[in-house]
Amino acid sequence: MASAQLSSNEIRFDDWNAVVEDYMARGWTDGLPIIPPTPELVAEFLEAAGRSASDILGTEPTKGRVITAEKAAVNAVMAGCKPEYFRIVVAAVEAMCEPEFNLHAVTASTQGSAVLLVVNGPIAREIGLNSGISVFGPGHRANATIGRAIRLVVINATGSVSGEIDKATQGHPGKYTWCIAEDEDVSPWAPLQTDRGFSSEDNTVSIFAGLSGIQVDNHAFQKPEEILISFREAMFAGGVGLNQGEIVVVLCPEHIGHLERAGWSKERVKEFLHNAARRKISEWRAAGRFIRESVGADDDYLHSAVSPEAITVMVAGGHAGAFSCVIPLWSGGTGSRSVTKLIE
Amino acid sequence: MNGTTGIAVLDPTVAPLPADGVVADRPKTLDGARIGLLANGKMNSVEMLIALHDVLADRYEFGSVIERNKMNASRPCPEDIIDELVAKCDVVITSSGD
Repeated sequence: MASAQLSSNEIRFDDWNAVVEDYMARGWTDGLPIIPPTPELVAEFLEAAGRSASDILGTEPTKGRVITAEKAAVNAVMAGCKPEYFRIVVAAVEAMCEPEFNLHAVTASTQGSAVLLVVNGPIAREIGLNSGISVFGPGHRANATIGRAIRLVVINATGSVSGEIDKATQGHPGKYTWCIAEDEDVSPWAPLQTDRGFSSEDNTVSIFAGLSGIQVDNHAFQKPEEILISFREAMFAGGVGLNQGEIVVVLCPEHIGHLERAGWSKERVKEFLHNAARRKISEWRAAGRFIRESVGADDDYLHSAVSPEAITVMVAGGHAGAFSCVIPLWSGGTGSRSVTKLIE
Repeated sequence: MNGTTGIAVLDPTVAPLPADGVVADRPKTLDGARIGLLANGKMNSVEMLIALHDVLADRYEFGSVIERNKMNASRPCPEDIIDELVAKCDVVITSSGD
């Protein structure tokens, strides 16, 4: 353990509770109590991921703060992770530091996005990540603490503290924690990471700068067209609404079952959603969207997503209930692009 | 705890860079100053800068004024604009609209 060569300042307290209260008072938490990050636990996390304390996972591109494996591990311990979760946190931090994710903006902006993590590959089952019932809800340590670790890294390693750098007007609960696995067993399609150049056996984490999810309720119909048309208004509703460079659709098992029985491919679903979620410029304006005159004539159509490929489709949720969701992304999915990283 | 009582824990934070960053000296007057106006690309950011310029121009005789717009609020200002402002300005005023 001593070989970890830790370099963080060490602080000594009388007892566990004193640590929790002090870290809270310093603003080093998300408002919830933390697990005290002892050198022994941090070393254990680094060892579990095969990382040295000084390994640089990335540099926050705007502010230039360097995030080491040690700092990520300290925050992962605080979040309540198990050591075996840490390599997912490592990959997610690496992903966040890619310039195209635009980490500073997505964690500072008034638009108030959160980092949505989607894990694919065998590791999800190995560590008990939930992809089923109440997939965005509580009750699963891996989901809860991996997502929380990322929030604590954002707060402590990049300085995006609420009211200081983080200026979200409202934000949303995903800013506490937001980590799911795709349900690859239920999905009839190739999993998300294969859309991004990885193999279905690769463990990956994909990150998205997500705004509040919008539920899509459709229990009434079974034909794909009749189900998918009900996503139209949800695709219009969130964030900037139109010309989105990326937008996420999470399909529940019941909806997927109907699509599978009808033989629809993922590509066909994307094509349908892209075509369905469009309206005239005059209609966008009537819905309160500001569109400059130079963009086009009143009768010209603008789509919610710029292309079928701009729609990321994945599968998750419980088997009972026909509730899917649309997750719009920060800045219309253009100012920040999602990133997928291999979990080493 | 190495034979002592209590619990030792680690600091989770990363210090801001540069650690030795300092604020530039404030000008004593804007009379004769070369002024840069840098909008951040958001709606109304230019209008706000112009309004602020007009208020200040009633009180000071500027040496020169240049206006630039970094066009993207969520990205750092392009290097060429920064270099130009450094070379041509004594004071730069920036704004964020919405």
